Amino acid sequence: MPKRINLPVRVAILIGSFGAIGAALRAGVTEWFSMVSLFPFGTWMINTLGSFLLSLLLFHPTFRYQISPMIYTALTVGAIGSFTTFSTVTVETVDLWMANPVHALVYVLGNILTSVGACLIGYFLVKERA
Amino acid sequence: MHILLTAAGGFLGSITRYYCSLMFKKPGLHTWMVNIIGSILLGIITNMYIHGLLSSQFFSFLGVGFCGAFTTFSTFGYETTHFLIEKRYALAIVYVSTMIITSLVIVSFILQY
Repeated sequence: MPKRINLPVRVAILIGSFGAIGAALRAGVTEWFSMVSLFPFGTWMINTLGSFLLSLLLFHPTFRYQISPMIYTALTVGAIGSFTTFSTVTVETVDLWMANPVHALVYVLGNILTSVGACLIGYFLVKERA
Repeated sequence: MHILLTAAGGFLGSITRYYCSLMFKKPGLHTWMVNIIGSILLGIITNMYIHGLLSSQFFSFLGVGFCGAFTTFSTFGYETTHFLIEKRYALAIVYVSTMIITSLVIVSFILQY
């Protein structure tokens, strides 16, 4: 399916800037949590919180029409997308597995369950009332 | 200093992810690919960092920043929820399990060496 992809520079810079903030926030939160516990609670909390926020924004029936489409994309794809992370979960799970497989399973399944659960809560909070 | 390098990596990672999302129109497909490729990349970077082949600055930039922002958990959660709401339960299970298992298996091999 090769086709020309149109990504204007100003859109890229806006998404990237919001993404930079999301990544920096994630690093800050993770570092703080790593001082408190060896178990990666920081990433887990970030993923759950980010999933909840993203589902509020994406499932909301009117929010996307109330702000500029560029800011909307930068907030959802850029900031929240970069704030949460999948690759770190994978590496942390493998790391936990080497010490204690039960911790690894709790961690990876916990990440999925709380994030999807948070998305469902977000959906029921903002979905259009019929 | 590290936080700035992480932010710079996040800048590039989020743009790259958005670019990939423009390549595939099928819902969920780009997140699936991006998360697996990003996990493999982070596995390699972590391995190099553990063996002293990468400085901690590079790890902040490429690992925490780029790979962290290139992959995403929130869209993964959102798309899974979307499949569940549409009652496409089989698709939701296949989407979640193949993404998780593929990346975990490959990364566990990478981190052994």
